[in-house]
Amino acid sequence: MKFTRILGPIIILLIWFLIASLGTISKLILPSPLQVLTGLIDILAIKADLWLHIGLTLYRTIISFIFACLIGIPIGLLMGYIAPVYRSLEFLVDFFRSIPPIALFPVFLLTLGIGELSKLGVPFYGCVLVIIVNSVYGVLNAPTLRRIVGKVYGLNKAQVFFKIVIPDSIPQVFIGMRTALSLALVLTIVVEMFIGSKSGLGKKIYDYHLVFDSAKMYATIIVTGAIGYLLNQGFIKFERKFIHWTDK
Amino acid sequence: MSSNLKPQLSLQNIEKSYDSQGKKVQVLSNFDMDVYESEFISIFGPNGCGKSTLLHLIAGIIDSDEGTISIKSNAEDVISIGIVFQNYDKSLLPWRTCLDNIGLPLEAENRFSKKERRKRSFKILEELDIDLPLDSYPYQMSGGQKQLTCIARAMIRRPSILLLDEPFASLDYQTRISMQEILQDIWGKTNVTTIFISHEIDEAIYLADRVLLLTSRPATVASWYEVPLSRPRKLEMLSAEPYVKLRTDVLNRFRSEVGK
Repeated sequence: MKFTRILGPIIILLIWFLIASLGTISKLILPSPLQVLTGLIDILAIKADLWLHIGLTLYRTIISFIFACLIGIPIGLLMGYIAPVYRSLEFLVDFFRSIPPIALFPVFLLTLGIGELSKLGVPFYGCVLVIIVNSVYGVLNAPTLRRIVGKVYGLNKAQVFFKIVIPDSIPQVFIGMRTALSLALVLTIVVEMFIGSKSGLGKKIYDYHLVFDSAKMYATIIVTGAIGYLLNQGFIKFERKFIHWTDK
Repeated sequence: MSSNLKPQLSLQNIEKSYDSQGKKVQVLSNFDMDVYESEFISIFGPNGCGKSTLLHLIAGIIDSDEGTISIKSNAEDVISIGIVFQNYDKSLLPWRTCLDNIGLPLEAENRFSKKERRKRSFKILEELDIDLPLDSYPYQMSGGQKQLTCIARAMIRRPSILLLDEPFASLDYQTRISMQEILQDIWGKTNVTTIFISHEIDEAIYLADRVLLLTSRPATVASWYEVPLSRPRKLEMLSAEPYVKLRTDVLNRFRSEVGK
């Protein structure tokens, strides 16, 4: 069982070794796994500055994600529960959902400046829409019978919302949050590659690319992938503990 | 039933229709029904005739187009209705333990603290003599335990009327028999006026004082049947002559309704 889980990565590594050792592809485009490993050890050395960049990328990812949750979840839940709120916001959500977040980066630069805020703005924008849509569906797809039960037993509309609708929607809200967390990391890395950025993993990947240090560029990409994987796994563990009643 | 008693529940001239794909579908028509205090009524009828709609009207989940529904409350400190649905999985709150599910109706009023709610939940279980895994979540419980949780929840605020919408339809035969006995026992202890919907003729007769047979849609009263069996009911009574005769009468009338 455990072996099958690492079989895929082993096969990819072997193919990578084979292609690199054949020498048909320039080392600038595809360095060998050993070169990338050496690059990885270099950039992760205790005194290396990569840790600072990891920290900054994580900070931007988490902050934009948290704000997206704080704003997106209440909006989505209210849209799902109160029909007039849904009708008045549905077009706006669908419209802005159709605009790629990166296309709005110049707008964020103009309005929020080239500082930290515009780097938080893009991932926030991408995440908040995903969270809103999933929260709306969380409410709309939850069984109506529980709300009827609440009504029959005299719970008022607010009590039904807080005691029944919100917990019933949480599994779908969490799906949105998990998708948004991965998206926040992706968008943060992309934004860090843009003009005006001085820090973050995106900036490091772009810098190594500019000086043709492909081994370190790939090593930084692997670090980024590992962070994304760990964030996702951590969230899944939290989700299983928090919403223990789903899929049972 | 004595006509000089004031009914606990009275439905007069009820009309109810639904819009289905732009067409008006009449579900209940000119429907009258009186149920008296502490009676156990079973409602039986063709599929889709409007049995559940009738129960939802009584519970106040939906409104009738015409007619009046009046419920006499026994005391000030009770709610009028307790209801148990067939689908216990979608009726219980899966994020709450059994005990916290039972206490849900008490949360409508802010006067009950969590401690008080738990105390009252323990008390109702003790009174009804129901044994449940109180700290378990619904997904850790059997179908029978979940439905008992729903019954305890329905009874916690001492309702004037207990409505049961095919509560045992999703249970296996053995559990169903045992649940019928428990329900009979609960009714015997509380004397709560009970309206029980069933699509199973033996269950409908076995539990009830009177059986109401409905016509095909639009539903109205086809016939009332008094059940000539003493209480407590025993399974052996199902082979007794009065029971067999009543069952045959109900089924003959049912067949003629279905064939219409």
